[in-house]
Amino acid sequence: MKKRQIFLNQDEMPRKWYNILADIKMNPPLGPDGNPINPDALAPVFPMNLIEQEVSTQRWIDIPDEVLDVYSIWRPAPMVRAYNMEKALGTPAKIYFKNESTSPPGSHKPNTAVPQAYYNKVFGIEKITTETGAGQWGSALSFACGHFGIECKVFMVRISFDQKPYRKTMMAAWGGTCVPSPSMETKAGREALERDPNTPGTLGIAISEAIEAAVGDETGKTRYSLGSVLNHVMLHQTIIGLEAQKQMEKVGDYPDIIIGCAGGGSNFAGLAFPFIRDKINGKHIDIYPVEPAGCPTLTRAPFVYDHGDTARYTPLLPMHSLGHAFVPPPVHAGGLRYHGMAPTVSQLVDEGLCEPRSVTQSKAYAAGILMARTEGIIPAPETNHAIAAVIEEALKAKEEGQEKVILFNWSGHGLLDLGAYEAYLAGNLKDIELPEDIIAESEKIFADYPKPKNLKSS
Amino acid sequence: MDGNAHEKPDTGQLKQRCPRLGHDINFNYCLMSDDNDLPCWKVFDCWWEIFDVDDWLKTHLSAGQYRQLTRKKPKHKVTSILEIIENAKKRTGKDKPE
Repeated sequence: MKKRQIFLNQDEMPRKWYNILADIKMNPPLGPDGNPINPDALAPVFPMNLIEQEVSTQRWIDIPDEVLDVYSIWRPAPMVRAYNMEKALGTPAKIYFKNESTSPPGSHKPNTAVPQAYYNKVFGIEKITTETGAGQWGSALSFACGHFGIECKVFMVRISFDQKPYRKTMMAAWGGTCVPSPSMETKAGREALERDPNTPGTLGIAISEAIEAAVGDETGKTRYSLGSVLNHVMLHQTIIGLEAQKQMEKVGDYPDIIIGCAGGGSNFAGLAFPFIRDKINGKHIDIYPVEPAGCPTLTRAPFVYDHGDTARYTPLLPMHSLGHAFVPPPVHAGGLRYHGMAPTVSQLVDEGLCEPRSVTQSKAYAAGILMARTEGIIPAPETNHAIAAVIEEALKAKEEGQEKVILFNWSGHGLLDLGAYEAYLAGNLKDIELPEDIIAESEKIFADYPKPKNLKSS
Repeated sequence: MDGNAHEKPDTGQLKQRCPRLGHDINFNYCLMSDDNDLPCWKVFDCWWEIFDVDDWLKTHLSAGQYRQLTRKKPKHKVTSILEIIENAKKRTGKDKPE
């Protein structure tokens, strides 16, 4: 029998997270006055110990024993050699994946939900609020809060609440309270219901409700939690890559290529950041964040300071952006306006430490189906983008006759998201290639804006 | 866009996975899911592979709405959180000095 799964013993679990802010330089977020934002401005919604992590430049940060204890329910997560996929592709490449679908909620999300719940508890917080769509993050946070005796209130967008009954049941099973948003519990919710009593809700309203519930709590014992984008979220996720490094060592391999899907950046960061440290220190690795072709933030857009909004009253932040005032050319409007990427990932791209790629929806689902039929696990739709890039690299290795070692992050399973596969299997997705000729135009928008420094970390 | 993209769809029947919510939604939801009575800022991203959503929106939105939609950028999360905190403080009366 082939050694398919590479395990770590429980006592081999990493004891520290890796903080990439120690090894890279970041342009700070700027306020409307052009000055850096004071992190204390986040104090109404995050406990100070997490805000300290958000701005820390300490390279290694101890994982508290209490967090390790909860992690040990599903961690160390297995690293798997995808022999069947290799055979199906006829590639000489070795394909490994870090299987984050083994967590109780079925994704990488609890890697940060657990420490966030812990640090809130230590800070004296008794209740955490958040928003959720289909419930992946709400489930992870409910699971985490349950382990630390913290109340968890999840504002779930009404349309999702009605369509995803099993997710709210999962949250309830872990002790979380899930309410449809808009709700009557907050002024933001009541105002939305006054405008339209039958509204299906939006993520914007749900976030407003979750933050209002934290800010408005007179006891000061409620805070808000976010599962993506922020620096401390990326930090907590690095346990994925740190485990993978030890597992690679066990089988005597080292990756030539690292791949992760990049929506908000956290599952990509979790696997890639520890290897980026190796790259900074001289290792030769190709590292690819992969995003849907419909929103090529990193792939195409320049690195600039940009406002978050057309009115330009929000702070200037360093990001890959086509500009707050960018008008997409008529038929090419799709896909050129998203910039919700974690600033740390944007910075790494700017430094050339990783190289973004994009794949179309249909290609991603085709890859997911092939992986399900070879390795057995049905991937989360987001994971499919990474798998599509893995297949491209494995076929390239075949063409070149090279035994490349490819490692990717299997960020979650798709068992609660099967509707996503329906359109693909019904043949409703078609590939359309994006044009290559419009990005330069967008740069003109930034002519009068301050330019972030192209910082180099070493 | 290709021939498929130029077909005029019955928008009431169009469904696909919303990457923000994480489940299937109808195209009509995308048209109202922004909090400023505009279509979702990802409406182009999500539908461009399915049909000519740009052409559809140009036809069905006012020129002002279309301009507002195409010029609008999603907010960075930290920026957005700070803005929501300020709004929440105003709603709960916590913006006033104690």
